[in-house]
Amino acid sequence: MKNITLGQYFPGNSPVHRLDPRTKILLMIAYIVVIFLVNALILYVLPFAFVLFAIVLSHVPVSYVTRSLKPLRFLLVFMFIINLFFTPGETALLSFWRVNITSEALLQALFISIRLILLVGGTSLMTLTTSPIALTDGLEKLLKPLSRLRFPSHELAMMMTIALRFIPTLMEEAVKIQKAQMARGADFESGNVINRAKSMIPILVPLFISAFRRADELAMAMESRCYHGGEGRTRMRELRFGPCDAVAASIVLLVAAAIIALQYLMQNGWAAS
Amino acid sequence: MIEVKNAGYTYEGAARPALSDISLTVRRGEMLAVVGHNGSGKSTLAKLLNGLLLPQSGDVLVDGMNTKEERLILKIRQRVGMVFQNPDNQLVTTVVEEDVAFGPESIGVPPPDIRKRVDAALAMVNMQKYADRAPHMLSGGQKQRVAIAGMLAMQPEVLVMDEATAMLDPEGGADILEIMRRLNRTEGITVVMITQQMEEAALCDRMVVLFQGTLLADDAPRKIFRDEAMLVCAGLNVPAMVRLRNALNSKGAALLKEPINVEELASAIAARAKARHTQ
Ligand SMILES: Nc1ncnc2c1ncn2[C@@H]1O[C@H](COP(=O)(O)OP(=O)(O)OP(=O)(O)O)[C@@H](O)[C@H]1O
Ligand SMILES: [Mg+2]
Repeated sequence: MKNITLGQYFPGNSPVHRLDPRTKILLMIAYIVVIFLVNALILYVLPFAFVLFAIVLSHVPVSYVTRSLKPLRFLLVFMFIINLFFTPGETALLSFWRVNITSEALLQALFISIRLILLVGGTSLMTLTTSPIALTDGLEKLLKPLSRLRFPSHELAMMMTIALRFIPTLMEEAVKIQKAQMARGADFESGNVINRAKSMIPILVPLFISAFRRADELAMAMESRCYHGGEGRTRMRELRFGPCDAVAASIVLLVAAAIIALQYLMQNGWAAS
Repeated sequence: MIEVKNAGYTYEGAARPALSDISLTVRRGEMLAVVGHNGSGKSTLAKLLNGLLLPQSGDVLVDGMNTKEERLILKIRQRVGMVFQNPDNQLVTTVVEEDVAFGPESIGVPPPDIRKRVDAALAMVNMQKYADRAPHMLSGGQKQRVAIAGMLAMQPEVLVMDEATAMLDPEGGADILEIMRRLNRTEGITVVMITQQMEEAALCDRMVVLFQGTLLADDAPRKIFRDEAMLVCAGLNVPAMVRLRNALNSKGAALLKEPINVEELASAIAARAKARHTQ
Protein backbone atom coordinates (compact mmCIF):
# COMPACT_ATOMS: atom_id res chain seq x y z
CA MET A 1 0.00 0.00 0.00
CA LYS A 2 2.84 2.35 0.84
CA ASN A 3 4.36 2.42 -2.60
CA ILE A 4 1.45 3.54 -4.70
CA THR A 5 2.95 5.68 -7.38
CA LEU A 6 0.46 7.73 -9.26
CA GLY A 7 1.10 8.64 -12.82
CA GLN A 8 3.62 5.76 -12.64
CA TYR A 9 6.53 8.16 -13.03
CA PHE A 10 9.79 6.43 -13.99
CA PRO A 11 12.54 8.85 -12.88
CA GLY A 12 15.40 9.41 -15.29
CA ASN A 13 17.49 12.01 -17.01
CA SER A 14 17.04 11.14 -20.68
CA PRO A 15 16.35 13.73 -23.39
CA VAL A 16 12.69 12.71 -23.19
CA HIS A 17 12.62 13.32 -19.43
CA ARG A 18 14.30 16.68 -19.87
CA LEU A 19 11.75 18.01 -22.33
CA ASP A 20 9.63 20.86 -21.03
CA PRO A 21 6.28 19.44 -19.89
CA ARG A 22 4.51 22.01 -22.03
CA THR A 23 6.26 20.66 -25.12
CA LYS A 24 5.26 17.15 -24.17
CA ILE A 25 1.62 18.06 -23.63
CA LEU A 26 1.38 19.96 -26.92
CA LEU A 27 3.18 17.28 -28.91
CA MET A 28 0.96 14.66 -27.32
CA ILE A 29 -2.07 16.53 -28.59
CA ALA A 30 -0.55 16.68 -32.09
CA TYR A 31 0.22 12.97 -31.86
CA ILE A 32 -3.35 12.11 -30.87
CA VAL A 33 -4.78 14.20 -33.70
CA VAL A 34 -2.50 12.42 -36.17
CA ILE A 35 -3.40 8.91 -35.07
CA PHE A 36 -7.07 9.73 -35.43
CA LEU A 37 -6.56 11.32 -38.83
CA VAL A 38 -4.75 8.40 -40.38
CA ASN A 39 -7.02 6.06 -42.30
CA ALA A 40 -4.60 3.82 -44.12
CA LEU A 41 -3.28 0.85 -42.18
CA ILE A 42 0.18 1.04 -43.67
CA LEU A 43 0.65 4.61 -42.44
CA TYR A 44 0.43 3.50 -38.81
CA VAL A 45 3.94 2.22 -39.22
CA LEU A 46 5.14 5.80 -38.76
CA PRO A 47 3.52 6.58 -35.37
CA PHE A 48 4.54 3.12 -34.20
CA ALA A 49 8.13 3.78 -35.19
CA PHE A 50 7.92 7.16 -33.54
CA VAL A 51 6.73 5.74 -30.19
CA LEU A 52 9.38 3.03 -30.28
CA PHE A 53 12.04 5.62 -31.01
CA ALA A 54 10.83 7.73 -28.06
CA ILE A 55 10.83 4.70 -25.75
CA VAL A 56 14.38 3.80 -26.69
CA LEU A 57 15.48 7.40 -26.24
CA SER A 58 13.82 7.63 -22.80
CA HIS A 59 15.52 4.50 -21.38
CA VAL A 60 12.15 3.44 -19.97
CA PRO A 61 11.91 -0.36 -20.19
CA VAL A 62 9.41 -1.38 -22.88
CA SER A 63 7.72 -3.63 -20.33
CA TYR A 64 6.64 -0.51 -18.38
CA VAL A 65 4.81 0.78 -21.43
CA THR A 66 3.21 -2.55 -22.27
CA ARG A 67 2.17 -2.92 -18.65
CA SER A 68 0.05 0.20 -19.01
CA LEU A 69 -1.78 -1.54 -21.86
CA LYS A 70 -2.64 -4.54 -19.72
CA PRO A 71 -5.75 -3.16 -18.00
CA LEU A 72 -6.96 -2.35 -21.49
CA ARG A 73 -6.96 -5.88 -22.86
CA PHE A 74 -10.66 -6.60 -22.24
CA LEU A 75 -11.73 -3.30 -23.71
CA LEU A 76 -9.51 -4.00 -26.72
CA VAL A 77 -10.99 -7.42 -27.36
CA PHE A 78 -14.50 -6.12 -26.79
CA MET A 79 -14.08 -3.20 -29.18
CA PHE A 80 -12.48 -5.43 -31.74
CA ILE A 81 -15.35 -7.95 -31.67
CA ILE A 82 -18.09 -5.33 -31.66
CA ASN A 83 -16.59 -3.61 -34.64
CA LEU A 84 -15.89 -6.84 -36.42
CA PHE A 85 -19.47 -8.06 -36.18
CA PHE A 86 -21.48 -4.92 -36.31
CA THR A 87 -19.83 -2.65 -38.84
CA PRO A 88 -21.91 -2.57 -42.01
CA GLY A 89 -20.02 -3.47 -45.18
CA GLU A 90 -20.31 -5.10 -48.56
CA THR A 91 -17.31 -7.27 -49.31
CA ALA A 92 -17.99 -10.42 -47.34
CA LEU A 93 -14.94 -12.22 -46.05
CA LEU A 94 -16.53 -14.92 -44.04
CA SER A 95 -20.08 -15.89 -43.32
CA PHE A 96 -21.50 -18.62 -41.21
CA TRP A 97 -24.85 -19.07 -39.51
CA ARG A 98 -26.16 -15.51 -39.42
CA VAL A 99 -22.87 -13.79 -38.99
CA ASN A 100 -21.23 -11.90 -41.79
CA ILE A 101 -17.75 -10.58 -41.46
CA THR A 102 -16.91 -8.06 -44.10
CA SER A 103 -13.53 -6.71 -45.00
CA GLU A 104 -14.73 -3.20 -44.11
CA ALA A 105 -15.58 -4.45 -40.64
CA LEU A 106 -12.23 -6.14 -40.23
CA LEU A 107 -10.50 -2.96 -41.28
CA GLN A 108 -12.58 -0.88 -38.88
CA ALA A 109 -11.85 -3.27 -36.01
CA LEU A 110 -8.15 -3.11 -36.75
CA PHE A 111 -8.21 0.67 -36.88
CA ILE A 112 -9.94 0.97 -33.53
CA SER A 113 -7.51 -1.41 -31.85
CA ILE A 114 -4.42 0.17 -33.29
CA ARG A 115 -5.59 3.65 -32.40
CA LEU A 116 -6.35 2.60 -28.84
CA ILE A 117 -2.97 0.94 -28.42
CA LEU A 118 -1.12 3.92 -29.85
CA LEU A 119 -3.15 6.32 -27.76
CA VAL A 120 -2.55 4.59 -24.45
CA GLY A 121 1.04 3.64 -25.26
CA GLY A 122 1.92 7.18 -26.22
CA THR A 123 0.23 8.89 -23.29
CA SER A 124 1.67 6.45 -20.79
CA LEU A 125 5.13 7.13 -22.16
CA MET A 126 4.44 10.77 -21.36
CA THR A 127 3.35 10.07 -17.76
CA LEU A 128 6.28 7.68 -17.34
CA THR A 129 8.77 10.37 -18.28
CA THR A 130 7.11 13.40 -16.66
CA SER A 131 6.72 13.81 -12.90
CA PRO A 132 3.16 14.66 -11.81
CA ILE A 133 4.37 17.99 -10.52
CA ALA A 134 5.93 18.89 -13.88
CA LEU A 135 2.75 17.80 -15.61
CA THR A 136 0.52 20.00 -13.47
CA ASP A 137 3.00 22.88 -13.82
CA GLY A 138 2.95 22.50 -17.59
CA LEU A 139 -0.81 22.36 -17.68
CA GLU A 140 -1.07 25.45 -15.50
CA LYS A 141 1.30 27.39 -17.74
CA LEU A 142 -0.48 26.28 -20.91
CA LEU A 143 -3.88 27.25 -19.55
CA LYS A 144 -2.59 30.55 -18.19
CA PRO A 145 -3.79 32.65 -21.15
CA LEU A 146 -7.30 31.41 -20.40
CA SER A 147 -7.22 32.90 -16.91
CA ARG A 148 -7.87 36.27 -18.56
CA LEU A 149 -11.27 34.79 -19.33
CA ARG A 150 -11.56 33.87 -15.65
CA PHE A 151 -10.58 30.28 -16.28
CA PRO A 152 -9.12 29.04 -12.93
CA SER A 153 -5.87 27.61 -14.34
CA HIS A 154 -3.84 27.98 -11.13
CA GLU A 155 -6.62 26.60 -8.97
CA LEU A 156 -7.04 23.64 -11.30
CA ALA A 157 -3.34 22.81 -11.09
CA MET A 158 -3.39 23.24 -7.29
CA MET A 159 -6.37 20.89 -7.03
CA MET A 160 -4.62 18.28 -9.13
CA THR A 161 -1.51 18.54 -6.97
CA ILE A 162 -3.47 18.18 -3.74
CA ALA A 163 -5.43 15.26 -5.16
CA LEU A 164 -2.19 13.50 -6.16
CA ARG A 165 -0.75 14.20 -2.72
CA PHE A 166 -3.76 12.86 -0.81
CA ILE A 167 -4.93 9.89 -2.87
CA PRO A 168 -2.33 7.55 -1.30
CA THR A 169 -3.09 8.90 2.17
CA LEU A 170 -6.83 8.36 1.75
CA MET A 171 -6.33 4.92 0.25
CA GLU A 172 -4.27 3.90 3.23
CA GLU A 173 -6.95 5.23 5.51
CA ALA A 174 -9.70 3.38 3.62
CA VAL A 175 -7.83 0.12 4.15
CA LYS A 176 -7.42 0.90 7.84
CA ILE A 177 -11.12 1.63 8.25
CA GLN A 178 -12.05 -1.51 6.35
CA LYS A 179 -9.87 -3.61 8.62
CA ALA A 180 -11.37 -1.95 11.68
CA GLN A 181 -14.88 -2.70 10.42
CA MET A 182 -13.91 -6.28 9.61
CA ALA A 183 -12.58 -6.67 13.15
CA ARG A 184 -16.07 -5.72 14.31
CA GLY A 185 -17.57 -8.41 12.14
CA ALA A 186 -18.43 -6.49 8.99
CA ASP A 187 -18.57 -8.62 5.88
CA PHE A 188 -17.29 -7.20 2.60
CA GLU A 189 -17.02 -10.32 0.52
CA SER A 190 -20.29 -12.20 0.38
CA GLY A 191 -23.72 -11.28 -0.96
CA ASN A 192 -24.87 -9.83 -4.21
CA VAL A 193 -23.76 -6.58 -5.78
CA ILE A 194 -26.26 -4.48 -3.84
CA ASN A 195 -25.29 -5.98 -0.51
CA ARG A 196 -21.66 -5.46 -1.23
CA ALA A 197 -22.26 -1.87 -2.24
CA LYS A 198 -24.19 -1.38 0.99
CA SER A 199 -21.34 -2.79 3.02
CA MET A 200 -19.12 0.00 1.62
CA ILE A 201 -21.17 2.65 3.42
CA PRO A 202 -19.49 2.12 6.81
CA ILE A 203 -16.17 2.73 5.06
CA LEU A 204 -17.20 5.71 2.98
CA VAL A 205 -18.88 7.69 5.74
CA PRO A 206 -15.86 7.85 8.09
CA LEU A 207 -13.58 8.35 5.11
CA PHE A 208 -15.56 11.38 3.97
CA ILE A 209 -15.72 12.84 7.46
CA SER A 210 -11.98 12.50 7.82
CA ALA A 211 -11.39 13.93 4.35
CA PHE A 212 -13.31 17.07 5.32
CA ARG A 213 -11.31 17.38 8.52
CA ARG A 214 -8.11 16.96 6.54
CA ALA A 215 -9.21 19.60 4.05
CA ASP A 216 -9.89 22.01 6.89
CA GLU A 217 -6.49 21.45 8.47
CA LEU A 218 -4.71 21.58 5.13
CA ALA A 219 -6.35 24.92 4.37
CA MET A 220 -5.02 26.26 7.70
CA ALA A 221 -1.55 24.92 6.97
CA MET A 222 -1.60 26.49 3.48
CA GLU A 223 -2.74 29.83 4.86
CA SER A 224 -0.02 29.68 7.51
CA ARG A 225 2.43 29.36 4.64
CA CYS A 226 1.13 32.58 3.13
CA TYR A 227 -0.82 30.87 0.36
CA HIS A 228 -3.12 33.39 -1.27
CA GLY A 229 -3.85 32.04 -4.74
CA GLY A 230 -1.77 32.21 -7.89
CA GLU A 231 -1.19 35.95 -7.80
CA GLY A 232 2.41 37.00 -7.15
CA ARG A 233 3.46 33.39 -6.85
CA THR A 234 6.92 32.32 -8.01
CA ARG A 235 8.15 28.79 -8.68
CA MET A 236 11.35 27.16 -7.49
CA ARG A 237 11.65 25.26 -10.76
CA GLU A 238 10.90 27.50 -13.68
CA LEU A 239 9.84 25.92 -16.91
CA ARG A 240 12.17 26.81 -19.72
CA PHE A 241 12.23 25.70 -23.34
CA GLY A 242 15.59 24.35 -24.42
CA PRO A 243 17.19 23.06 -27.63
CA CYS A 244 15.74 19.61 -26.89
CA ASP A 245 12.25 21.06 -27.15
CA ALA A 246 12.92 22.51 -30.58
CA VAL A 247 14.35 19.20 -31.81
CA ALA A 248 11.42 17.21 -30.43
CA ALA A 249 8.88 19.59 -31.91
CA SER A 250 10.59 19.44 -35.30
CA ILE A 251 10.63 15.63 -35.28
CA VAL A 252 6.97 15.34 -34.34
CA LEU A 253 5.87 17.96 -36.81
CA LEU A 254 7.93 16.39 -39.60
CA VAL A 255 6.49 12.96 -38.94
CA ALA A 256 3.00 14.43 -38.80
CA ALA A 257 3.53 16.32 -42.03
CA ALA A 258 4.91 13.19 -43.71
CA ILE A 259 1.91 11.17 -42.62
CA ILE A 260 -0.58 13.75 -43.81
CA ALA A 261 1.22 14.16 -47.13
CA LEU A 262 1.38 10.40 -47.70
CA GLN A 263 -2.25 10.06 -46.83
CA TYR A 264 -3.16 12.79 -49.29
CA LEU A 265 -1.14 11.13 -52.01
CA MET A 266 -2.67 7.73 -51.36
CA GLN A 267 -6.17 9.12 -51.49
CA ASN A 268 -5.67 11.16 -54.60
CA GLY A 269 -3.54 8.63 -56.39
CA TRP A 270 0.17 8.88 -57.07
CA ALA A 271 -0.50 9.87 -60.62
CA ALA A 272 -2.42 12.99 -59.74
CA SER A 273 0.56 14.59 -58.09
CA MET B 1 7.98 40.12 19.56
CA ILE B 2 4.35 39.04 19.89
CA GLU B 3 1.99 40.84 22.20
CA VAL B 4 -1.43 39.47 23.03
CA LYS B 5 -3.52 42.18 24.66
CA ASN B 6 -6.74 41.24 26.46
CA ALA B 7 -7.64 38.89 23.61
CA GLY B 8 -10.92 36.99 23.66
CA TYR B 9 -12.40 34.53 21.19
CA THR B 10 -15.69 32.64 21.10
CA TYR B 11 -16.44 30.11 18.35
CA GLU B 12 -19.73 30.50 16.59
CA GLY B 13 -22.42 28.56 18.40
CA ALA B 14 -20.19 27.77 21.39
CA ALA B 15 -21.67 28.19 24.87
CA ARG B 16 -18.57 29.69 26.46
CA PRO B 17 -15.58 31.58 25.10
CA ALA B 18 -12.60 29.48 23.98
CA LEU B 19 -10.34 32.28 25.21
CA SER B 20 -11.19 35.19 27.44
CA ASP B 21 -9.10 38.22 28.27
CA ILE B 22 -5.69 36.71 27.57
CA SER B 23 -2.66 38.96 27.92
CA LEU B 24 0.72 37.54 27.12
CA THR B 25 4.03 38.56 25.63
CA VAL B 26 6.25 36.26 23.61
CA ARG B 27 9.78 37.59 23.96
CA ARG B 28 12.38 37.45 21.22
CA GLY B 29 14.68 34.44 21.43
CA GLU B 30 12.87 32.63 24.20
CA MET B 31 11.40 29.18 24.25
CA LEU B 32 7.91 29.44 25.64
CA ALA B 33 5.70 26.50 26.59
CA VAL B 34 1.91 26.77 26.51
CA VAL B 35 0.26 23.98 28.49
CA GLY B 36 -3.35 23.18 29.23
CA HIS B 37 -5.70 20.21 29.24
CA ASN B 38 -7.88 19.27 26.25
CA GLY B 39 -10.13 22.11 25.17
CA SER B 40 -8.38 24.72 27.30
CA GLY B 41 -7.87 26.95 24.26
CA LYS B 42 -4.27 26.22 23.30
CA SER B 43 -4.93 25.79 19.58
CA THR B 44 -7.19 28.82 19.56
CA LEU B 45 -4.36 30.87 21.08
CA ALA B 46 -1.93 29.49 18.50
CA LYS B 47 -4.24 30.52 15.65
CA LEU B 48 -4.48 34.02 17.08
CA LEU B 49 -0.70 34.37 16.94
CA ASN B 50 -0.46 34.27 13.12
CA GLY B 51 -3.85 35.70 12.29
CA LEU B 52 -5.58 32.46 11.30
CA LEU B 53 -8.19 33.65 13.79
CA LEU B 54 -8.74 37.28 14.74
CA PRO B 55 -9.51 38.16 18.35
CA GLN B 56 -13.09 39.33 18.85
CA SER B 57 -11.96 41.50 21.72
CA GLY B 58 -8.48 42.85 22.36
CA ASP B 59 -5.55 42.75 19.93
CA VAL B 60 -2.63 40.62 18.83
CA LEU B 61 0.49 42.50 17.73
CA VAL B 62 3.41 40.86 15.92
CA ASP B 63 6.40 43.21 15.95
CA GLY B 64 3.86 45.96 16.39
CA MET B 65 1.72 44.82 13.44
CA ASN B 66 -1.90 44.20 14.31
CA THR B 67 -3.22 40.88 12.94
CA LYS B 68 -6.50 42.63 12.19
CA GLU B 69 -4.87 44.67 9.44
CA GLU B 70 -5.46 42.68 6.30
CA ARG B 71 -2.59 44.15 4.29
CA LEU B 72 -0.11 43.03 6.93
CA ILE B 73 -1.30 39.46 7.21
CA LEU B 74 1.22 37.92 4.80
CA LYS B 75 4.07 39.70 6.57
CA ILE B 76 2.80 38.44 9.91
CA ARG B 77 2.47 34.86 8.69
CA GLN B 78 5.94 34.98 7.19
CA ARG B 79 7.31 35.96 10.62
CA VAL B 80 5.21 33.58 12.68
CA GLY B 81 5.50 30.03 11.36
CA MET B 82 3.09 27.35 12.52
CA VAL B 83 3.42 23.58 12.70
CA PHE B 84 0.32 21.56 13.48
CA GLN B 85 -0.38 18.28 15.21
CA ASN B 86 -1.26 16.00 12.31
CA PRO B 87 1.81 15.40 10.13
CA ASP B 88 -0.37 14.15 7.26
CA ASN B 89 -2.48 17.25 6.86
CA GLN B 90 0.06 19.98 6.40
CA LEU B 91 2.10 18.85 3.42
CA VAL B 92 0.62 20.11 0.18
CA THR B 93 2.59 18.72 -2.73
CA THR B 94 3.86 15.38 -3.94
CA VAL B 95 7.60 15.93 -3.54
CA VAL B 96 9.38 16.87 -0.30
CA GLU B 97 11.49 19.70 -1.70
CA GLU B 98 8.57 21.14 -3.65
CA ASP B 99 6.64 21.17 -0.42
CA VAL B 100 9.37 23.04 1.42
CA ALA B 101 9.37 25.53 -1.47
CA PHE B 102 5.62 26.12 -1.11
CA GLY B 103 5.90 28.94 1.45
CA PRO B 104 8.68 30.92 -0.30
CA GLU B 105 6.81 30.50 -3.60
CA SER B 106 3.71 31.98 -2.00
CA ILE B 107 5.55 35.09 -0.86
CA GLY B 108 7.15 35.52 -4.28
CA VAL B 109 10.80 34.80 -3.49
CA PRO B 110 12.91 34.71 -6.73
CA PRO B 111 13.54 31.11 -7.92
CA PRO B 112 17.32 30.87 -7.30
CA ASP B 113 16.80 32.10 -3.73
CA ILE B 114 14.04 29.56 -3.16
CA ARG B 115 16.48 26.79 -4.11
CA LYS B 116 18.99 28.04 -1.53
CA ARG B 117 16.38 28.41 1.16
CA VAL B 118 14.98 24.94 0.53
CA ASP B 119 18.39 23.31 0.71
CA ALA B 120 19.26 25.20 3.87
CA ALA B 121 15.93 24.42 5.52
CA LEU B 122 16.17 20.70 4.73
CA ALA B 123 19.70 20.66 6.11
CA MET B 124 18.55 22.28 9.35
CA VAL B 125 16.15 19.38 10.00
CA ASN B 126 18.48 16.70 8.58
CA MET B 127 16.20 15.78 5.70
CA GLN B 128 18.45 16.53 2.70
CA LYS B 129 18.49 12.85 1.80
CA TYR B 130 14.73 12.82 1.37
CA ALA B 131 14.49 15.91 -0.85
CA ASP B 132 12.97 14.06 -3.81
CA ARG B 133 10.78 11.60 -1.92
CA ALA B 134 6.99 11.57 -1.87
CA PRO B 135 5.60 12.72 1.49
CA HIS B 136 3.38 9.66 1.90
CA MET B 137 6.47 7.44 1.95
CA LEU B 138 7.88 9.16 5.05
CA SER B 139 7.34 8.34 8.73
CA GLY B 140 5.31 10.69 10.91
CA GLY B 141 8.41 12.20 12.47
CA GLN B 142 9.99 12.75 9.08
CA LYS B 143 6.83 14.43 7.78
CA GLN B 144 6.85 16.70 10.79
CA ARG B 145 10.47 17.61 10.10
CA VAL B 146 9.51 18.46 6.50
CA ALA B 147 6.71 20.64 7.86
CA ILE B 148 9.25 22.45 10.06
CA ALA B 149 11.56 22.88 7.05
CA GLY B 150 8.61 24.32 5.12
CA MET B 151 8.31 26.97 7.79
CA LEU B 152 12.06 27.58 8.10
CA ALA B 153 12.21 28.25 4.36
CA MET B 154 10.09 31.34 4.98
CA GLN B 155 12.78 32.54 7.41
CA PRO B 156 10.41 33.13 10.30
CA GLU B 157 11.27 34.73 13.62
CA VAL B 158 8.86 32.64 15.65
CA LEU B 159 7.82 29.02 15.27
CA VAL B 160 4.58 27.99 16.94
CA MET B 161 4.38 24.23 17.44
CA ASP B 162 0.79 23.18 18.16
CA GLU B 163 1.27 19.78 19.82
CA ALA B 164 3.58 18.91 16.96
CA THR B 165 4.93 15.87 18.82
CA ALA B 166 1.60 14.51 20.07
CA MET B 167 1.00 12.07 17.20
CA LEU B 168 4.58 10.81 16.97
CA ASP B 169 6.27 7.86 18.61
CA PRO B 170 8.53 8.82 21.55
CA GLU B 171 11.67 8.74 19.43
CA GLY B 172 10.19 10.91 16.69
CA GLY B 173 8.89 13.32 19.31
CA ALA B 174 12.28 13.56 21.00
CA ASP B 175 13.90 14.29 17.62
CA ILE B 176 11.51 17.17 16.97
CA LEU B 177 12.11 18.57 20.44
CA GLU B 178 15.85 18.39 19.96
CA ILE B 179 15.59 20.16 16.59
CA MET B 180 13.49 22.93 18.13
CA ARG B 181 15.99 23.44 20.95
CA ARG B 182 18.84 23.63 18.47
CA LEU B 183 16.97 26.10 16.23
CA ASN B 184 16.26 28.19 19.30
CA ARG B 185 19.85 28.22 20.50
CA THR B 186 21.81 28.42 17.24
CA GLU B 187 19.43 30.18 14.85
CA GLY B 188 17.88 32.44 17.46
CA ILE B 189 14.37 31.42 16.49
CA THR B 190 11.73 32.13 19.11
CA VAL B 191 9.78 28.95 19.84
CA VAL B 192 6.28 28.59 21.23
CA MET B 193 5.79 24.94 22.24
CA ILE B 194 2.17 24.07 22.77
CA THR B 195 2.03 20.80 24.62
CA GLN B 196 0.34 18.62 27.19
CA GLN B 197 3.60 16.98 28.16
CA MET B 198 5.17 18.57 31.18
CA GLU B 199 8.53 17.05 30.32
CA GLU B 200 8.55 19.17 27.16
CA ALA B 201 7.52 22.26 29.08
CA ALA B 202 10.32 21.64 31.58
CA LEU B 203 12.84 22.21 28.76
CA CYS B 204 11.48 25.68 28.00
CA ASP B 205 12.56 29.04 29.45
CA ARG B 206 9.08 30.04 30.45
CA MET B 207 5.64 28.46 30.55
CA VAL B 208 2.06 29.63 30.62
CA VAL B 209 -0.84 27.53 31.87
CA LEU B 210 -4.24 27.79 30.22
CA PHE B 211 -7.40 26.64 31.92
CA GLN B 212 -10.84 26.95 30.33
CA GLY B 213 -9.72 29.82 28.17
CA THR B 214 -8.03 31.84 30.90
CA LEU B 215 -4.40 32.32 31.79
CA LEU B 216 -3.70 30.61 35.10
CA ALA B 217 0.03 31.12 35.40
CA ASP B 218 2.96 32.61 33.52
CA ASP B 219 6.40 31.96 34.94
CA ALA B 220 9.56 29.89 34.76
CA PRO B 221 8.74 26.15 34.71
CA ARG B 222 10.78 25.63 37.88
CA LYS B 223 8.56 28.06 39.75
CA ILE B 224 5.32 26.77 38.28
CA PHE B 225 6.17 23.20 39.24
CA ARG B 226 6.28 24.32 42.89
CA ASP B 227 2.53 24.68 42.80
CA GLU B 228 1.42 21.15 42.12
CA ALA B 229 -2.09 21.84 43.40
CA MET B 230 -2.64 24.57 40.82
CA LEU B 231 -1.51 22.30 37.98
CA VAL B 232 -3.72 19.46 39.15
CA CYS B 233 -6.58 21.93 39.33
CA ALA B 234 -5.93 22.81 35.66
CA GLY B 235 -6.15 19.13 34.75
CA LEU B 236 -2.39 18.76 34.48
CA ASN B 237 0.41 17.38 36.56
CA VAL B 238 4.02 18.12 37.37
CA PRO B 239 6.71 16.13 35.50
CA ALA B 240 7.55 12.71 36.90
CA MET B 241 10.98 13.98 37.95
CA VAL B 242 9.43 16.76 40.02
CA ARG B 243 7.15 14.23 41.68
CA LEU B 244 10.17 12.08 42.44
CA ARG B 245 12.03 15.10 43.80
CA ASN B 246 9.10 16.02 46.02
CA ALA B 247 8.83 12.45 47.26
CA LEU B 248 12.55 12.38 48.04
CA ASN B 249 12.33 15.73 49.81
CA SER B 250 9.38 14.60 51.89
CA LYS B 251 11.45 11.61 52.96
CA GLY B 252 14.11 14.01 54.18
CA ALA B 253 16.54 13.86 51.27
CA ALA B 254 16.59 17.68 51.01
CA LEU B 255 17.92 18.06 47.47
CA LEU B 256 19.42 21.39 46.44
CA LYS B 257 18.61 23.54 43.37
CA GLU B 258 15.05 22.31 42.71
CA PRO B 259 15.77 19.79 39.94
CA ILE B 260 13.02 19.45 37.30
CA ASN B 261 14.44 16.97 34.80
CA VAL B 262 16.38 13.72 34.79
CA GLU B 263 19.78 15.33 34.45
CA GLU B 264 19.27 17.92 37.16
CA LEU B 265 17.77 15.37 39.50
CA ALA B 266 20.66 12.98 38.92
CA SER B 267 23.26 15.63 39.66
CA ALA B 268 21.35 16.81 42.75
CA ILE B 269 21.26 13.27 44.11
CA ALA B 270 24.91 12.73 43.21
CA ALA B 271 25.87 16.00 44.89
CA ARG B 272 24.04 14.95 48.02
CA ALA B 273 25.61 11.53 48.06
CA LYS B 274 29.04 13.11 47.70
CA ALA B 275 28.31 15.57 50.48
CA ARG B 276 27.38 12.72 52.82
CA HIS B 277 30.46 10.82 51.83
CA THR B 278 32.82 13.64 52.71
CA GLN B 279 31.12 14.31 56.03
N1 LIG C 1 -14.11 25.07 15.17
C1 LIG C 1 -14.67 25.12 16.40
N2 LIG C 1 -15.98 25.38 16.54
C2 LIG C 1 -16.55 25.44 17.76
N3 LIG C 1 -15.90 25.25 18.91
C3 LIG C 1 -14.59 24.98 18.86
C4 LIG C 1 -13.90 24.91 17.60
N4 LIG C 1 -12.60 24.61 17.84
C5 LIG C 1 -12.49 24.53 19.17
N5 LIG C 1 -13.66 24.75 19.79
C6 LIG C 1 -13.90 24.77 21.24
O1 LIG C 1 -13.08 25.78 21.81
C7 LIG C 1 -12.46 25.34 22.99
C8 LIG C 1 -10.96 25.45 22.88
O2 LIG C 1 -10.49 24.61 21.85
P1 LIG C 1 -8.98 24.45 21.45
O3 LIG C 1 -8.95 23.64 20.22
O4 LIG C 1 -8.37 25.79 21.40
O5 LIG C 1 -8.41 23.64 22.68
P2 LIG C 1 -7.01 22.90 22.83
O6 LIG C 1 -6.46 23.34 24.13
O7 LIG C 1 -6.19 23.10 21.64
O8 LIG C 1 -7.45 21.39 22.94
P3 LIG C 1 -6.67 20.08 22.48
O9 LIG C 1 -5.69 19.79 23.56
O10 LIG C 1 -7.73 19.05 22.40
O11 LIG C 1 -6.02 20.37 21.16
C9 LIG C 1 -12.95 23.91 23.20
O12 LIG C 1 -14.00 23.95 24.15
C10 LIG C 1 -13.46 23.49 21.88
O13 LIG C 1 -14.53 22.59 22.02
MG1 LIG D 1 -5.30 21.79 20.13
